[in-house]
Amino acid sequence: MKKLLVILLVIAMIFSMAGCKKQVTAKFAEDLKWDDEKKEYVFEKNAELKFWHDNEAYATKIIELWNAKYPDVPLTYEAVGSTDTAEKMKLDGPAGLGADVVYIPHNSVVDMREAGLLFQYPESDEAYFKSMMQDSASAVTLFEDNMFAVPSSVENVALVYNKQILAALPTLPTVLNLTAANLLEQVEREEIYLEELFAGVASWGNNFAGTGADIPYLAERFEAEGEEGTAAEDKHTLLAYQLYDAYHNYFLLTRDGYRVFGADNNDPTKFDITSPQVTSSIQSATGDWYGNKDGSKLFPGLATIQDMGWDQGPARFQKGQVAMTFSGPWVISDINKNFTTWAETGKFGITADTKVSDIYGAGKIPRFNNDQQPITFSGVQVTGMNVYTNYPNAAMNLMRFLTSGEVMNVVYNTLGKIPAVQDSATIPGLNEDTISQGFLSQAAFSHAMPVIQEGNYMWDPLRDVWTNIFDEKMSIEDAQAKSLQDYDDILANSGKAAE
Amino acid sequence: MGNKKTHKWWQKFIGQKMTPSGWLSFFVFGLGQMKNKQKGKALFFFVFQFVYAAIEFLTSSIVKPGLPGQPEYWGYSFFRRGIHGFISLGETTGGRFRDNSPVMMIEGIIAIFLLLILIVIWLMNIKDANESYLSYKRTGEVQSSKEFYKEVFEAGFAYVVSAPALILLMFVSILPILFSFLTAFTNWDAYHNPPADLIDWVGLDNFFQILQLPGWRSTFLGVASWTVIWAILSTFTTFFGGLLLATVINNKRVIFKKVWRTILILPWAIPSMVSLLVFKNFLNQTYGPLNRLLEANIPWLNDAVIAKITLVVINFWLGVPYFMMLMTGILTSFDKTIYEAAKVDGANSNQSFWRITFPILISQVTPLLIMSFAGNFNNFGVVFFLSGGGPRNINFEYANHTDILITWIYNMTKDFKMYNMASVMSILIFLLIGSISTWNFLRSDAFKEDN
Repeated sequence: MKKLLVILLVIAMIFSMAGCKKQVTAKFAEDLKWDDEKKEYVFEKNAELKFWHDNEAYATKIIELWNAKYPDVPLTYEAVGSTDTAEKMKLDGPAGLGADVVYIPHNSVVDMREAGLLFQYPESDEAYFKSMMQDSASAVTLFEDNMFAVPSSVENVALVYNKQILAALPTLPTVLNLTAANLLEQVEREEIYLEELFAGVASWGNNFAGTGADIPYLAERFEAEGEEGTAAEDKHTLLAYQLYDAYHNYFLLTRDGYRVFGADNNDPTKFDITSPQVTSSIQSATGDWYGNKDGSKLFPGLATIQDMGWDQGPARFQKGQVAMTFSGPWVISDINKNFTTWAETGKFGITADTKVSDIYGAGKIPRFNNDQQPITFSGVQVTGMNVYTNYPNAAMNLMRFLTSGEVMNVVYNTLGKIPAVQDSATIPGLNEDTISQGFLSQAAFSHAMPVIQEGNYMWDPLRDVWTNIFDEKMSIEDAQAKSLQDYDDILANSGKAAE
Repeated sequence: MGNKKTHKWWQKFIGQKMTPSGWLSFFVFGLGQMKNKQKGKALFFFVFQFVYAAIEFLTSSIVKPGLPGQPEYWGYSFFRRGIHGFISLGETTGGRFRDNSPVMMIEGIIAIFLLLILIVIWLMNIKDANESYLSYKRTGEVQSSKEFYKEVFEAGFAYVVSAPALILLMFVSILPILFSFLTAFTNWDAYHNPPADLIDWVGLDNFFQILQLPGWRSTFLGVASWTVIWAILSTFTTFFGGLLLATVINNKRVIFKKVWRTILILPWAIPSMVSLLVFKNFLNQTYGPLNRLLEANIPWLNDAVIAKITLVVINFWLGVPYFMMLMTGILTSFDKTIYEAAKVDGANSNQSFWRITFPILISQVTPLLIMSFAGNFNNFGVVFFLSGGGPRNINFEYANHTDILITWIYNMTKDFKMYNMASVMSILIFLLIGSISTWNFLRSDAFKEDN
């Protein structure tokens, strides 16, 4: 006797009917209406916009600027992590809950574009956005010459160093003409090859004690809360970076011309990890320190390359315990935060007048001894427009607003990221910022991430070439073969074969 | 309700036998009730058929013509489109203005749920027509609709109050579970990426893949067996550890009971993610403070066997306060007179613990023990944050030495977007945990007493 239950079910059913009503409209490329006078799209009546971002300070500032410019169109934001956006949008987009404009990292562009969630810009806008932004950054947003997102900021790995420590170290042996008086000058004047730098670091045992030099503020560097550090912490303190990560290790493979997925990085048939260029690059760039765990001079005592992660590399660099690391601009943003505290306590002799760039520097990775510049991946943060938006015109205006000079200023000043603009002179302060310029000088030698689905599968095999050599003690050729096999397995299991 | 012995299975659904009234109701809801001269009841049943038919009619292309160029089945009415979509999972690709397979699957499930409800009402309607007809034949009396409603409300009060919860459960709980269950029978992966691409039914292919492909099979067997060992070890260590601590602290010779308890509860008070990340650095073989302190080079997390032991030990540290508090609570609630009686009978403290305390305790905490087992079986946090699945196992696919099934699933979905395989794994986990838990639970005293 469940008859009354049934009445309630009917009510629920009628409600669910209302929820299932599907709005069907025509494809909205034709809905876009351009206003030639105002140089913007014609806002829809009662348009409301929302964007997803993970930084509150930035989002608040953007809303403030937007309201000053378009007081009639409400703009709100929701805190969504940029790496979670793609997954969230797959469900929220079709359900009509997604933001109109989202911030995503380059690799999510592939995923979201493949899932059909990103709006493809009309040609006129494509030309406009391309004219504003760096070509290498725009590359990740293009697929078959169509544009699906707009670059916002760029980042890439470069050599980041502690000037105080390097200045105290003697020069290293080199075949180049040496005019420098210390290691800092030698690195900044590019008077050393990468191989020579590795060999030199190894000859010092990769620690301060091995250099025999008098490291400034040595005691303060290992000082934990109120207690003096011990000599045992002086381990891999000259060079430490995230070894167990393909993004940070990729440049070592590029010496003899290897580029993942071919010259344009988008040919799925050219993973080519077994090519002889890779073999010789690994051999040359690493000498005897990889592949020979027990005899490794560069990282003596490193048990597995997994042991060297963020906390052991860049995080120690930020505390002033490590002289050099390969990392991106984010490593400096945290230092900026700590700098005022250091100035107050006088740590490392820092006073109120000291600038971050007096202590820390960034620059190109030293070139290989065949005079080739190491090639890094160019990471790009992009803004994309949700194809499920109800206000395409308003959303397009927001896209244009977010790429304008005033917002790029906020990207630089509030987010502390390097704007992807074509002309860095348009951002006040950017050209005088030697650290950002250091990253940008390596950016000229970086290439866009692959924008094909296979690009998402390359990371583990690219990383495990090194793991196979270092931890599994395979020969370089075996490690390459195993890496290729892993890659093929992933493709087969992920449905590529069945496509 | 007729003779039990001649009861056929279908009589449960439609009453003792099909009568003329029953046949009328078979075609039109409530028509049989009309014949039985029960107008109110007839209207009641007819409303359902009317509402469903109205929905179907109002959403059909007759009322709401589709747009030109739209696929024909987009104009289908609600239930027809739902079922068509569920079976086909879409035919046109291309994102927003085309088919979206997961949404079609969900809409299909909703349509099927609603139709199942209609079928239940339909059967009730036939059964009621038959029974009223027979009772009229037997007694010559017509039960008025008013009396009928009163009877229903009184007899079915429990159903009335639990109805909202049941509806919620159906659409909030069962629907998502069914959706992820059905994903195991599709090809939803990175190359079939809705809404741009369509997904298709592939039957049991994914299950065969796990059994047939050597890489998958060995990974599954390896990961599953470690998961079971892990779940057993982590449950029993924390359980007996907690019991030991609780009995020790409860002992009357222990002073500063509260101080001990407070100190021992501390690991529980810190968010476990934080302490796990601290432990991860603490146990780092090359740089970790522990190895530096011991002046040793022990691969806490870098050796397959030692890493597993480390995981169990750290989990013990995290999990023991919970069981300690639980046991303390139960032990203090024991009736002291039992022990006095045992003492009078000449039992020593050892006997009174193993013969009295322990059995009573076990009978009370068995359900919690089972829940803890299931929880540890899916203990994502400890494995993910502490070892990240490592050390590396080059013979496994997407899993490493300390990965348990749930972290393996996470790797598959997060990094490789193999939703279909991840769903297969979820089903297997469900079968494993579900059967172990149910079997244990049914045998536990707590359950028996509940009945």
